[in-house]
Amino acid sequence: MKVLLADDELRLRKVVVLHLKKAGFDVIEANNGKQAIDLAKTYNPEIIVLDVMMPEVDGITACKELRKLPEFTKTPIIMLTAKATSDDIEVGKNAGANEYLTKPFSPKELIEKIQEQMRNG
Amino acid sequence: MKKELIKIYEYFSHNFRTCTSTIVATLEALKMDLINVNDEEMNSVYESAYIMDILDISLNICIDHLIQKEVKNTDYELNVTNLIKKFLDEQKSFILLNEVETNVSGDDLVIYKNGYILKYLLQLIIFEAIKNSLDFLNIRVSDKEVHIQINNPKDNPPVIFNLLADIFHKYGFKFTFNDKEYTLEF
Repeated sequence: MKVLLADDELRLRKVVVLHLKKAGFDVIEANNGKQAIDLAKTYNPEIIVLDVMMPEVDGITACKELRKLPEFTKTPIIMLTAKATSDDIEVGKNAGANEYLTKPFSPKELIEKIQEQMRNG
Repeated sequence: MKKELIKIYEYFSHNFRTCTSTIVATLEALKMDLINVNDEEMNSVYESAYIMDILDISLNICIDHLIQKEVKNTDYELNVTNLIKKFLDEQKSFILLNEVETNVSGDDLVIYKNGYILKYLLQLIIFEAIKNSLDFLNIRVSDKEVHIQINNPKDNPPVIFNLLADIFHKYGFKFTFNDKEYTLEF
C-alpha cells in the first residue's frame, strides 16, 4: 500500500518513514505541497499525509488542489500539523482532509489513523 | 501587540511541537528496535532538545520585549565565532540530513555587551538559515558584522524576523535580512 508523506521537517519525516515502512507501507516522500501534488499525480498513492506548514505550497492549499483532481476526490488525506487550535482543525477539515493529527503525535497513532481510513475507504 | 503575540505564538508553538514530535517518534523507533541507541537517528533527540532550549529562551526574550520588561544581566563576554562553530557542530546531523554545506570564515569576534541576547537570537537565526537552505550556507564573521548568505533559499525568512530586528535594535545591534542574506551588525 502506497502512502505519500509530505513534511519539510526532515528529522521528523525520516523517522516517521521508518515507522511506516515497518508497518508495511511503501512510502513516497515530499518536501513541500507542490512536490506532494506532483508526486501524487505520478504515483497515485492510496493515502496522503500532509504537513500544514510547508514552503512553496502549504498543506491546506495542497489538500484543496488534490481534492479538485478527479483521481483524489476520495483518497484519504490526513493533515499532520503543529497547528493545534480548534480554528486550525476547522481550516484543515474544510480543506477536505479526512483526519487532523496534531504534533506531537505518536507514529503508532498515525499508523492507526491510516489503517482506520483504509478500512473506511 | 495582539498581532505580534499571535506571530510569536505561531512561530514558537510550531517549532516546539515539531521538536517534540521528532523526539517522540525517534524514541518510539528506539523502543520498537527500528533503530539502535548508537544510530545516527538518535542525534535528532539531542539536537531537537538543544533547539528547544534556544527556542525557550528566545521566546522569553520576545515576550519581555513585547511587555517592555528590561532583560537584566545580559552583559558577558561572548566569542561570536566560537558560538557559531559550536552551534553548527551541535546540529551536525540536522545539517547533514538537509544536505546543506556550511562554511564559516573570518576571525574571532568577541563582544562584551548584551551577550545573552545575542547568544540565543543569533543561534535561532542560524537555525532558520539551515532550514531555509537547499545547498550552501556561508557565514562570514568580521569585526563589525556576521553575514549569513543562503544559496538557493527554500522560502522567505520567517515573519518573526521583523520582531527580532526590533529586539536587536533595542540592544544595540542592527539586523537586516532578505531571502538570501541575513546580516547582523555590531
